[in-house]
Amino acid sequence: MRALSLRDIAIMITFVLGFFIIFEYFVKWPEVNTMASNITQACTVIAGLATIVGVGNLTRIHIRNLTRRGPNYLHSIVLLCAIWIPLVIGIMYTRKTPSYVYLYNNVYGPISNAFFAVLAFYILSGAYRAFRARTFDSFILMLAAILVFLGNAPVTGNLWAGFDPLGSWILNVPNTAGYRGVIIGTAIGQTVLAVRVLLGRELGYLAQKRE
Amino acid sequence: MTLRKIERLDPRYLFLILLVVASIPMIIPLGLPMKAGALTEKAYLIIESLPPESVVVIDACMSAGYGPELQTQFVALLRHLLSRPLKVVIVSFGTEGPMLFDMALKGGLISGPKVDLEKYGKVYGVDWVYLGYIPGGETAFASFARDSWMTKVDDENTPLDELPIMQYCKNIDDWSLSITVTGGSFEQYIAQWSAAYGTTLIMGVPGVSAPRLFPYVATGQLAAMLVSLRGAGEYELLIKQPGLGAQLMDILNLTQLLIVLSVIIGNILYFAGRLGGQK
Repeated sequence: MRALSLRDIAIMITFVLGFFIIFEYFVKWPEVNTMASNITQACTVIAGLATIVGVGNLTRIHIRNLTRRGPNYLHSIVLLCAIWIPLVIGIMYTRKTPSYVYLYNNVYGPISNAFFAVLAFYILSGAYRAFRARTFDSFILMLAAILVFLGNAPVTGNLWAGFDPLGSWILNVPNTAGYRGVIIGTAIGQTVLAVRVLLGRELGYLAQKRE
Repeated sequence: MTLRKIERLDPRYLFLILLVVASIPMIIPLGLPMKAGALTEKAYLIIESLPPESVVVIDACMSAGYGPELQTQFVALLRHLLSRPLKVVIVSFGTEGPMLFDMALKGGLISGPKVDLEKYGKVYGVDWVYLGYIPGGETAFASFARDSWMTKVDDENTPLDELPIMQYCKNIDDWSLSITVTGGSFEQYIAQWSAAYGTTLIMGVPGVSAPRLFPYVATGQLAAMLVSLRGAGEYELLIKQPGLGAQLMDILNLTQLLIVLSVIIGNILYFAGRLGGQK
């Protein structure tokens, strides 16, 4: 009889805790409910600790890249500064200190905003250059897109009262029907994946290949 | 210039047109008319119908990337909640939540004017509380629902047993309403809060994510939804406190119309080119 490996222990922990949490969902038993609550709280603490691992790993990789003058090593300097300057200020003086707020409002915020705002330009370019009614299917798609766009622009309701209900109908009926299929399919897939994880057939979370 | 040349216009001209069109309302506010949509109005009516002393949990899970789209929704909802005799428990399941919550209270570029707490006469710890950031994503949603005291202290490290409001909020059974303003994890909130416990859930979401949530609105798992900047502007209209959301509606109107116009013009040029034998 072989000794239990770390992998076996990890699978056993997953199996026991996973089934316990599922079981707890169906019972009203204060001791069991409290224990489940403690387990989920422990998970949030572990998730918090995972951040330390992530920061540590990124730092290690980029310091190595920097010391070896690896590819784009100057980018590593930017990344290390971007991680560590706010981190040190935040830990030493809390997030409410003016320098931290300044960094967030005047560096991170505008960069983050600009990144998303660029999408608007590509949407317009795509709408003008690529959205063509070449076939009947693409015509229907284009018509639906136009109606939803017009329904979303509040001012169009004053031009013709029908834009809003028509746009809402597209979202509430054909869109809902389509997404419902996607949601049900995803849910079935997730359930199968969960069962495989609990039974130790799916080992991706242990960085190992599936069986 | 031939039709083909116009049809294959350098995209940089389009970018310039968008920039000009979006800038006009910033310089000259147009004040285009608008009225509240059904989903926004439903969210408003749910909050209006809550009896006094009801506990409402609102999650600030937005990020700066969404800019005013989500931040204005959060501010509008917070203003409404504070204007009513409710117990408001604020929490952040997103890393940027605490920064954006602070911005909402102080005012800011993507937030609009500050939320003046003195105006509402609310007392911290009695009428409202901020519990800070809780990491862990979906596990944290589940955990907070089971035990709303899981943080043990509030954002200022005050023990929760010293805050009278928390006596009303032990777990999800005490919540009359849950609200989240978020750019992601929509299904996880629904699964852990409304589907598991049947609590009423309202979401503030970006326009790009709204279509995938309509099935949940149809089933009632999502009671109401504020969609994009429009949802924020409409909500500000309903609570009669126009802010940044309402101001930015002109930009939304013009850019949406520009996109529709560009689709139509693009197609006219395409078909005109085909009829003229250019393709």
